[in-house]
Amino acid sequence: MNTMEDEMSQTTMTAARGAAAGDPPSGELVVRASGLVKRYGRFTALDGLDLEVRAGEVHGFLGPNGAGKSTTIRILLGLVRKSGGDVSLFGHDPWHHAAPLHRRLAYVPGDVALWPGLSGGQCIDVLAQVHGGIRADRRQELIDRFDLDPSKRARDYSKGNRQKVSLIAALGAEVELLVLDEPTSGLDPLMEQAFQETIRERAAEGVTVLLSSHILGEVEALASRVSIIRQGKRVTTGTLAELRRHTRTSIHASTRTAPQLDGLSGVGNLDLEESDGTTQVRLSVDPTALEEVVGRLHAAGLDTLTVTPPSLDELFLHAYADGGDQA
Amino acid sequence: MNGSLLTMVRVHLRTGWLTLTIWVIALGGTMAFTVSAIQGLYNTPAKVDSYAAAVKGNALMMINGKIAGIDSLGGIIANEFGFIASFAIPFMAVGLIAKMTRKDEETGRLELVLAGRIARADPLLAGVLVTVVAEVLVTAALFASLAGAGVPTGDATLYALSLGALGLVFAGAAAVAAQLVEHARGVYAIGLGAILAAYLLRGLGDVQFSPLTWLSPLGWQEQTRAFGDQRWWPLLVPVAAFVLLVAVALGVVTRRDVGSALLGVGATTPHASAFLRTPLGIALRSHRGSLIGWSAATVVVSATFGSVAKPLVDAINGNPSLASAIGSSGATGLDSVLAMNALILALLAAGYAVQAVGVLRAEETAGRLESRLSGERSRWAWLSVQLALVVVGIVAVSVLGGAVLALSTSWSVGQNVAGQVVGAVVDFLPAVAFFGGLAVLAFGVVPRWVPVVWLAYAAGAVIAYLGDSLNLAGVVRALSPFHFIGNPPIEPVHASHAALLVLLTVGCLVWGYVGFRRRGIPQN
Repeated sequence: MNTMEDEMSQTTMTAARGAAAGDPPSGELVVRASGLVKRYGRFTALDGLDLEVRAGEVHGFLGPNGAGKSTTIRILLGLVRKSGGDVSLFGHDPWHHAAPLHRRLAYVPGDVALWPGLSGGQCIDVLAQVHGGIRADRRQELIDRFDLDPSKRARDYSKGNRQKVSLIAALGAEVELLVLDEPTSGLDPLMEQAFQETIRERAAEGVTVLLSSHILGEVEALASRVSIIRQGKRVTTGTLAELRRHTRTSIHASTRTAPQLDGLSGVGNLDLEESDGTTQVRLSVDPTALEEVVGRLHAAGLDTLTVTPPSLDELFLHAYADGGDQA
Repeated sequence: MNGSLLTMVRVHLRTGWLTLTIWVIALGGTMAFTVSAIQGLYNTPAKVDSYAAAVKGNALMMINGKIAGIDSLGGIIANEFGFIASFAIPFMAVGLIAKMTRKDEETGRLELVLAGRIARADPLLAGVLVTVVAEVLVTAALFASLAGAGVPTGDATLYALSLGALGLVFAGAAAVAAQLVEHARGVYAIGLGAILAAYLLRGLGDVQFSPLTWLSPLGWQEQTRAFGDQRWWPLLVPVAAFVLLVAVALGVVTRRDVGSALLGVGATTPHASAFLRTPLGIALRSHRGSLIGWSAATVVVSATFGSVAKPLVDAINGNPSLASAIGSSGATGLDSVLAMNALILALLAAGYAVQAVGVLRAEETAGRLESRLSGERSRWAWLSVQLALVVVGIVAVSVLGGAVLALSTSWSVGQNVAGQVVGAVVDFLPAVAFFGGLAVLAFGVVPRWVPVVWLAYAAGAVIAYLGDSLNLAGVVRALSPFHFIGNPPIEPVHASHAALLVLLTVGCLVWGYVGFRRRGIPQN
């Protein structure tokens, strides 16, 4: 059985081959972290984290609660100082060049705090001001799109509405990079659509997006590459296709005779059930063994065949789970 | 000024202009009011001289400071305004800085701002600048009031500047405190402690004619001797202290993580104790900080004021007109001093009461009240546990303060005055309770107005303190419960007034309870 560690090394090898084969030079990496360490007293939040975000991509940043996603983002923003390792943003040290670097980015935190006495519209203006202002037409367009009432006081806003304020201020800014830390955790499905639409537009304009999220559908819909971290380390990174390549495909088939699958390497969760002269076969299979398995099912006489590629949920559950070695 | 700093100044002004305006108007207004009242009272040289004769000697120095040039209109104003200025001007600086630094950081707003084009040091630096602007405005208002009353321009300038510089020192101290602790309320606590320490150091130093005065920013202010033998160079001391403190704060803020504090939080345990799981246990946890803080402050103040009672008693006995200056004409020295100290203790206990009800409001705005009330516990039960703790706190502050005041006063004057002290403290309780009731009323009916109760408290304190010396009309004086209740132990409390205050308090509590059961939670 494939272990998570095997997959990790395979992914890393793929990435290494990719680099050798002429990936963008490091100058086009918007974010580069290697061996990043952050300690809070005796607690280690980041334990040698690696992360690369390429210019122009939407990069999904995933991990269970407490994995270190927000800490990483705060280090990238120069809000928190690293304890060790290397990190650069647009090729510069984010701690020492925080303010100049911030000319090129906008940020949405997961937990948005506003000024309770100001209206939502005033909060947008104040937030936009620290990002260098917002065009009036763009502001209005985003307010319409996110269906925000800008005349309400911030103290009367729900979590989702506070998040909209922060999103409008950030998405309206003329920047090269958007850093979004679980930006949609309080939004309803309609607003989630509006968010995805806006991110696609920005991405099409060439804006780079670092998107930390728990909403797998959102990541699947938006991200070109993802990095999954756990306990302050990167577990895996790559395009979604690459990640899928290393996970098992589920197969459900009905065959007229029992297929010969015993002892075949790369097959797991095998379950055979005979009834009314047909055999219900359920199994999961490694990409390497897929051809062989389908061949043997065919030989057993196929009635029906359902092949399900690994769902993202499975992928993430797999990577999130502590130890990560169950197949 | 660079773009980042300018932007940050604009953000602070846009989000905090109301607080700023209220402070400047309240301070400038109190000063203008005091000045015009005193100008009316002491409108001839003879009257000025008689005032000077009355307050001569070191007895009042503990309270108002050693005022040079007390035989001038400016000196009288400084003497009357000194006590309020000693607290109000530093507290404005602490309040503004805490709001613009640690408050933004603790809520997470700083993170949003720093993710923009704002350099790391600029939110703090801009906060300091805005506070300096507020100090300048207050200084200008002070100068205008004084000059308008006919105080020589040079004297008025130096006095106003010395008070402005006093504010700067505490702005710097608050900027450093904001680096030390995680929460804005910690900055307030440190600031209040520093103000109190400065006040007591200055008082002890003045009474003993010791260099202790020079350890206190209030001493530096006093040493300019604005209305006597003027000295301008002591202005440099607070300015230097301000620059140094701000430099330290900037040094720290540019090196530490956003959201962190130099003083770490204590050890935590993964389980709540059986007591903490009870309604009382969790309520006590929210009240613990203010309970300990106010008790400690009361003990320190009572001990200090009690232990300097003797010289004050002698001075009043030797110069009866002095008694009228502290609002107790015709009384013995001992009674006058006891009355004054009992009033201060009552002010502290009432302050605790208002703050403690503010804790309830904080539970609501922090969103904890919703979850507390989402279980099977009724609103009535929750509010009752909270208010029981507030009452325990008022009793604790009064008992601790009263005991220490009784002991230290008895020791100082060499006779047992415990009975009178305790009696006076008890006599003031209806006035203390009234402010608690007022705060509960606000919390129950219009929770947004809970902080406004502080304005009522401040007005009550100022009227009680200045009512006699400014010869305010009886109607105005009656507005202050501290005055309305009577002047124990010089004269017995007005029983009918006390009864009315108790009735009003009960009315406030009932109305507050009813309102709290009817209103939405949370209500913003």
